[in-house]
Amino acid sequence: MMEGRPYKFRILEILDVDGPMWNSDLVRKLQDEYKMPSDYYRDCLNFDLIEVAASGMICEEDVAIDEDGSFREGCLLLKYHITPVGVDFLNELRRKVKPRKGE
Amino acid sequence: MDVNEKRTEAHKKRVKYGYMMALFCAVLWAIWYIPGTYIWSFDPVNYFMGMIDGLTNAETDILLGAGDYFSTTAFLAAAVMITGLNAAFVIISYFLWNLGLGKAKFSEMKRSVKEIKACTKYYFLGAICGGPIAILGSFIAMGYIGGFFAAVAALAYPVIGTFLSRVWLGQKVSRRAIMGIVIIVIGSFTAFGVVMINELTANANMIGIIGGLMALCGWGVEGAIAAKGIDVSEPDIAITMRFGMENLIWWIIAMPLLTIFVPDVWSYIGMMLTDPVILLTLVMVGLTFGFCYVTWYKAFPLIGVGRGQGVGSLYGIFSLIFLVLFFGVIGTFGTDDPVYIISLIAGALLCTVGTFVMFTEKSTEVESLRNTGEEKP
Repeated sequence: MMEGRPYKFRILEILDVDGPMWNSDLVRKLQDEYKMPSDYYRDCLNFDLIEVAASGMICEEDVAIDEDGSFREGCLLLKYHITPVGVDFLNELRRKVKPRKGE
Repeated sequence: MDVNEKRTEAHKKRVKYGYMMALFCAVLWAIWYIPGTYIWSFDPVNYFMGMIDGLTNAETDILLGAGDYFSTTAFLAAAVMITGLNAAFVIISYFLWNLGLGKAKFSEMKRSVKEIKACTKYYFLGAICGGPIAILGSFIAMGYIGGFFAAVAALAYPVIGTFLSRVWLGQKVSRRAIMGIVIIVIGSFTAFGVVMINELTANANMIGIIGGLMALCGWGVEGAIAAKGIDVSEPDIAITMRFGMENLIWWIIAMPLLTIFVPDVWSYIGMMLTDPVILLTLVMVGLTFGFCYVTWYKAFPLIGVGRGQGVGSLYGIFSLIFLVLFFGVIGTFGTDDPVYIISLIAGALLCTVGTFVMFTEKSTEVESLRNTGEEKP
């Protein structure tokens, strides 16, 4: 339902539907969906994740260092899950967004 | 450095970045009062007010020379014209800013604006609180009483912002953060208290005071509304759309209404835009205010509304420094009374202490701005 809608809507939905996910995988998924392949947009989307986490809607549950450089060498990899506050917020968004044809 | 140390380091970096944004906001906001005050002194603005009061340009010059005031109606009409131009130059600076950020920002803007209930309504509400209430109020206070009064009048806005972020957004506000905000607000009032009392007793003009109150309430409420909007959109997008909405309010509603009563308003706007010095002043207004808002909005999702506004309120102390630098001690205060200087230093020290109380808060306190609803292990 949130595909093609603002990034933060989609971040919450992916974590709600697909379960906990590493930031590297989540960002890559978003880059593919929104067709933003560059490293610059990778970092922009990663920053969006940081903002959503700061707001308390998603939470870190595991942490690692990117040794092999699959995301960005030496950087922190964080595994996020959606929190109860995030689920409430997402449900509120689902009620507010206008469904597209076929949804 | 092990993985946990690196994680703590990343949190500290995020919080530091948030505080830096709030500090940049304070500096840029303070600088804005210079062109914001200066713009009232240009001939087209004064002649516009004179024209509304039925005066010729020569009669307006005599009125100004005698230190007399224009009517309230003339002041309000000029404030609407200036605030509209302020919004227009801010949105031009955002257009350039978003161009620099990449074309994906425009696509995200398109996606966000379509979500009327989830996003756009917050930008519109923010635009109402910020534009026709806070910014118009601040320009009225600047024009009617002075730049430093306008700066002081809104200083306690973090109190409103913090209260709303706690009760409406459910954001956590630590005791240390509250202590820091209270010290900053007390410091700002100490610095300006004597000046403000003097202004109010000397001019005792209710329109200017109401303008100051509009700024105080408008910016306090806007902060909380903005934070709600930023929960679901990027700060760069949120601020561009918020000013886009404000421009709609000024140029689609307010200016046509003003044109009905003052049809000549457009020729005065034309005069302002074709004068290189006024144009440059408007560009400075747009850049300083535009980027002050960018940094304000960027601070909220990282450190919360209360902290962002608390550090942002340091603009009070910075604005006095800049106003003294540009307009001189006499030009700023109308006197070189040492009491003013002492109250300024005491206020500056308190503000600095308050900021450090907040800065030294453990970054783990700001790890999440809300209670996540999960039980701690």
